[in-house]
Amino acid sequence: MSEASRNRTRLAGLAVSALFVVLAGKAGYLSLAGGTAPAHAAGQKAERIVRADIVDRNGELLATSVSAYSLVANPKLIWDGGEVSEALATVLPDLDVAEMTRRLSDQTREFVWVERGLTPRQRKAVFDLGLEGLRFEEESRRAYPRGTLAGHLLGYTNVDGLGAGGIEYSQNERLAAGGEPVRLTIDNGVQAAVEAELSIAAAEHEAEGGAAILLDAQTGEVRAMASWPPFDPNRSVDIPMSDPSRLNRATGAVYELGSIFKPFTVAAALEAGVVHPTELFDVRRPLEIRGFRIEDDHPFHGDADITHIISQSSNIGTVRINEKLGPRRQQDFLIRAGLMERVKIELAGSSAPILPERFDDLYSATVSYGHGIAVSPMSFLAAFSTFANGGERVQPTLIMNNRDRPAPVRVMSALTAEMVNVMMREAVVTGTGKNAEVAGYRVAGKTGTAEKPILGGYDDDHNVTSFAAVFPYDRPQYALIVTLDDPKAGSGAGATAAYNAAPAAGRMIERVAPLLGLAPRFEDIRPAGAALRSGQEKRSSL
Amino acid sequence: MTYVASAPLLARSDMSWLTEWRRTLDWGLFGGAFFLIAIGLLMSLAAGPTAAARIGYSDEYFFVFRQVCFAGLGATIMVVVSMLDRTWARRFATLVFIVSLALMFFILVWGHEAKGAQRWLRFAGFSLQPSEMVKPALIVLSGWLLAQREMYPTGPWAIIAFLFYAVTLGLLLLQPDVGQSVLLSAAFVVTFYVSGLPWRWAAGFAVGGVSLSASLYALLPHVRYRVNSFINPDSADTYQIDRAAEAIGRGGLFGVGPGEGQVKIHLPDAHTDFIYAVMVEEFGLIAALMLMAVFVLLILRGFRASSRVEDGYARAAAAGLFTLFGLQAAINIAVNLALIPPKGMTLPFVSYGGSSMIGTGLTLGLALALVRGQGTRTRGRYG
Repeated sequence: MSEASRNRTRLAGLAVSALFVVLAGKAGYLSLAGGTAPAHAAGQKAERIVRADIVDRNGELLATSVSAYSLVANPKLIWDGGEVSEALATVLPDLDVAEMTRRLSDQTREFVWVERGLTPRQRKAVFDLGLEGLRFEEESRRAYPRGTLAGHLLGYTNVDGLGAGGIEYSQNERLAAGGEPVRLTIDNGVQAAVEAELSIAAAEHEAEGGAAILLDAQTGEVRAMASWPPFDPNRSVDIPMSDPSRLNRATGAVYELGSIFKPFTVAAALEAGVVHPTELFDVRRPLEIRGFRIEDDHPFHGDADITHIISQSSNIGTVRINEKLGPRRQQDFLIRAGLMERVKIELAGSSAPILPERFDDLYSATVSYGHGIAVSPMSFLAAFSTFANGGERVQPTLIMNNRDRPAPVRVMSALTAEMVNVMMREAVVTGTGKNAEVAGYRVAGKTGTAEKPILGGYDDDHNVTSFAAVFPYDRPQYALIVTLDDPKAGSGAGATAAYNAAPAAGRMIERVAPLLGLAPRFEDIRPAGAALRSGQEKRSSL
Repeated sequence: MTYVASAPLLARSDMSWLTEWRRTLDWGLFGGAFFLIAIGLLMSLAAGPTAAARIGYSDEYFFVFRQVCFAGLGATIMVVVSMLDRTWARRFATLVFIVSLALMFFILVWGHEAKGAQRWLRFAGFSLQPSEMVKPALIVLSGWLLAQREMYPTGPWAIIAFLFYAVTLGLLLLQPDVGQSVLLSAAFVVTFYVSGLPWRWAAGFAVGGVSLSASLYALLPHVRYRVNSFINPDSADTYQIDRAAEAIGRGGLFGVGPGEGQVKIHLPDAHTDFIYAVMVEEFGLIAALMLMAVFVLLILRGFRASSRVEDGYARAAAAGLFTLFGLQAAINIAVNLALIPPKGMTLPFVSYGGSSMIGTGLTLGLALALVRGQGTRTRGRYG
């Protein structure tokens, strides 16, 4: 055997062994010099700011942030896009394998979103696949644990975690800074009850939409704000932008609200001293102003006093009162009541009112009974709540302990407010609002049925019906509005507010009054003829 | 007559194959191999339960148990194969070569239908990677073919050996498994070199190696990316090797302590390709260098034993086999140290994995058999 071959063998052995000298050098370098920087980087990551929670007035969770992981891929590191896609599909069943194969096979790209918003469990499952070319980016995902509850109010965040609607948008800066949760004025229990009754009413009367707001008149705190159809912020990405459920009808929609404006006209007239509470008005014949006829649904026999005009909702009587008031003082009152401007509340979607172009005698007349002016239910309720707050208007708010509000504005005297409350109580006891009566809680309120405006006039087949209430009328604390957009007439009942919005308001008060801590008083109720609703009646049509 | 007690040359009366084997075996190499297996079992206790938890097996000793089974299998194969004589070693290697090649071909053709399992053959809960078996078999076969040039210089032995190598390399590249291809090529070249590498062949290998590398770089974007990312690490995603290198840094001189390691939680391949990082994190630089020393001692002793073999076939083949063994260890450790990009290569006898255990057992078994010599039968009764 040749010595040369022997030496070649030894040389090969030395060459292979020599590699280990390099390895030992690198191992020594890593052990003794490296290894401190990565721990530092990990520490920095933990300091990421988490968007603050949103809670209700009792601290119950409405919106929170959870860790989510976005899976991204680098196609340049992936051998077989199909193999990786199919492996991922075993963990992420929603994945479109064909589409993902195509994207992962595109070797010109270095960054491909595979899926955003993975849960920790999904992340672990993907991690366990041990695939190369994939990595995770930790992100914060917004979760709304109560689903549709207060969905419109809360809004949602976009994919970048920034508020894109509702409180999430209006309080974005505060939420993004992290820390203490944002506490809302709403009460989850009350909110749930109001939402439930609103959706029952909307479904029962096949309405197109609806809104309901409950306001604490003294503090201006919104206790509940509901809009129908409901909206689940967890699903905001799946719901098209044009979907009707996205609209918060409580603040974002304006309606000609109709007769629920009449108490304003009466209050303004009483406040101005141009009418006397017991004064009689001739309401028998329709009025004609520059060819526009103003008439009542039900003809009246004989003259009517103001209480009668309110309780039976006479358009003619209201216009007669308004004639004494005059457009100037009428406008002053509306401005004081805040109805001529956008209601200031912590929601970006608050809509400005649609006002008459000129405030001439005709518009003055129609505005007196709530036509020719369109306001949002929230705007209306902020003004209406003055009846429940001794005549002072408090700027409504959704944020607890909100001191960033102007001082209350006096819209009318406490006496005027009290007188109008008595009149509206009469409307519930004997007038158009009978269906809103709730045993023990002494509801005062006003119905309003407005024909929906169409191009060049009004549509007599489609209404917007509302019921505005204060309760309890003798020591008022809360104001409520229920508005239904285009409710249909039921069997043996019309499509007016008396048959849909009024009973819905009654059921809401019946459910939320105990939650609000109001004590019922029974000795003064059940006047002869005031019907008690039976339990069956409540859900009869559903 | 006095009985003179002399000290006669005692005849080797016990000439059973077991005694022959015991007498001729290189116990140093043999012991070293078992030492590696023991370290592998020890480390499987560190990384196995974490891996089982990560994958979600309820039995936390799932991988430990299987490692024990695989280690037993690998050791048994090594012992049994080391008992073969050179002729049977060659015959056995030929059989393994044919079967593995057939399996690799089978996997390549049918693998696509079985959802991308192009390297693996699955049966009864186990998976087998025939490329681990084909490497030692090809080296032994090549060593024998190339050695035939001594006796029959006119035969096309080198060309036949090269064809076998080329077919194997082609199948590996089609899988594709660039790391194993590099390893196989290096071992084949060493075998050729020890056996006698004419200049024209050396030039051919140089040109072929460069052009193949260049065409792989040009044709396979994956390879191009790997190379680019290694040259320019800032732009690359080097998650696993970065974590491994970090872990080694965390280990320091004496390690963070047994069971205290973190890297095994984060790396999917902690119990297989990155077992070295797990060990160094827990036991420190001391253990890192010690394990390297074990490999170096085995390699040096193996090549020295090879160089002392008279038979050209056995010497060349054994040198090739020790190259396979040593280079695989070096590549694996280099990946763990973030010196080269990930290759999907195991640490012989230490990493978890059935195919790796079987392949290493076969490699060392054949090497032991080849350097063992022919014992009494060639050296005579008094040898």
